[in-house]
Amino acid sequence: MAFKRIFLCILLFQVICGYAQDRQRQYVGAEALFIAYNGEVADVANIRKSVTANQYDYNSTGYSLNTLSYYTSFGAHTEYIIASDKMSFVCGLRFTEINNSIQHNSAWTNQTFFYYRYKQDSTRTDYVKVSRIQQKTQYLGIPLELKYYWFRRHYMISPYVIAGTEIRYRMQSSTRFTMYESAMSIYEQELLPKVTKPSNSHITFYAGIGAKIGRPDKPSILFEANLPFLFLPSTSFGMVQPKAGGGIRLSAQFPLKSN
Amino acid sequence: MIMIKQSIYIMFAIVFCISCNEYELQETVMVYDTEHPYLPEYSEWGYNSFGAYFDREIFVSNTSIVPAKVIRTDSATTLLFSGIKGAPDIDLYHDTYKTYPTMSVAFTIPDLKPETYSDIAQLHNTSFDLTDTVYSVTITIDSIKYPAQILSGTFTCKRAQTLYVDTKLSEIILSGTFDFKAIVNATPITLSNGRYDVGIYADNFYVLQQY
Repeated sequence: MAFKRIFLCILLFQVICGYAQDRQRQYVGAEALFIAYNGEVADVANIRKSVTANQYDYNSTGYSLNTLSYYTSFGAHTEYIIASDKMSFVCGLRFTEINNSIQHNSAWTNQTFFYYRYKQDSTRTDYVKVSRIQQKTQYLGIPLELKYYWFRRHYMISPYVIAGTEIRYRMQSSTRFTMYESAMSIYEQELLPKVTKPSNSHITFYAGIGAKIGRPDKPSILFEANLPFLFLPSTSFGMVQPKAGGGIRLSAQFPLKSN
Repeated sequence: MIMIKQSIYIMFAIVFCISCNEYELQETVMVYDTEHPYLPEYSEWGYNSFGAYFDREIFVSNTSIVPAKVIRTDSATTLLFSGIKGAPDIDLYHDTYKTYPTMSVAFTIPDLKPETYSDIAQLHNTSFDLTDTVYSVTITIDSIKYPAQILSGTFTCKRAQTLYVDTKLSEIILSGTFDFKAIVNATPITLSNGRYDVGIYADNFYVLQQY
């Protein structure tokens, strides 16, 4: 299935970018992206609350949990300059790894675990003490972006704004429990099916502002502040759902075709 | 001399280990009911909370008071719920200055005689008609005990769960409801919308000659 998805992505990439044979200027580039985001734990049905909660407290849910969520992307892209040399269209291929983890918030107590319910019938309940749950997911994605440059041509630094979307297909996902008592790790296989898996695919929308350093007909470097703001479906990331985030992208570009 | 010191160290270690139970589970977690804002919602997680309306006041568990105790004597077993009472527009749970009167309600059940705290699980899915004279209810307000002459009401244990943490027996979670009308100190009172979700473990299970 993974190979079919890779083939489909490459084919789609060729179809979308293949029409640009007669564009004004063309660049190819490589990029690296890092985004950190604030997430909300979606998988709380089996987690025991640990703090008093009401609408007036700082914690209105009763769960004292911390999330650590970020993703890194590496990819290649082609940029086609259109519309009087100020606007460009970018498409590419991107490999992304999303990392989510949940652990107990130890800011107010010495407790470094939370109770996870893994088995229950009418008269017996079993908890396990969990230090951390980590989920790692790899995607292959096709980004499609529009850029607007304030000024170009002979200037070394060209600031721009960017808006884009990326369709991602899930390649692989893994979840890992770190137990408070290491002897309980033998029960990890019983817990894994209880954790929500990320969806097979999702779409993300983002915007950013950056600067391209280099002359139009020379290799250049791009720095960009990138802000993803919408993920569809909203429950696509698995056990931690993104709320807000931001990061940076670094790219190197080479001119491929000029006027 | 060295042997005596070693013995003392071992004794302290044993005492320390005995008291290393799941104290995080013994703390109260108050999750408020959206329908009754100053009562805890009904739950079955062992959150060590309870609450009820005492006429128009609130009788509820508090951060400073052990919410539930089980006292077994030769003749009966008493389930004792202790907290504080006050007006419903005040967040009584956080009353750390002890400005409100303490209150407890004790339900005495004669045909219940658990040998250990784990035997209290026999309360699973049971209900007691409090008008039956074999059962008795006592209300204590600021250390003054008032026997309740029950007019109507029930005490129900919807669920009694044996809780294991990391495969070790930890406590029995009792979850249920209670409500009754009674004459207390020559005054009719109503205890309504009562709900509890408490853990019973070695430290709040007592075996006494009489209570």
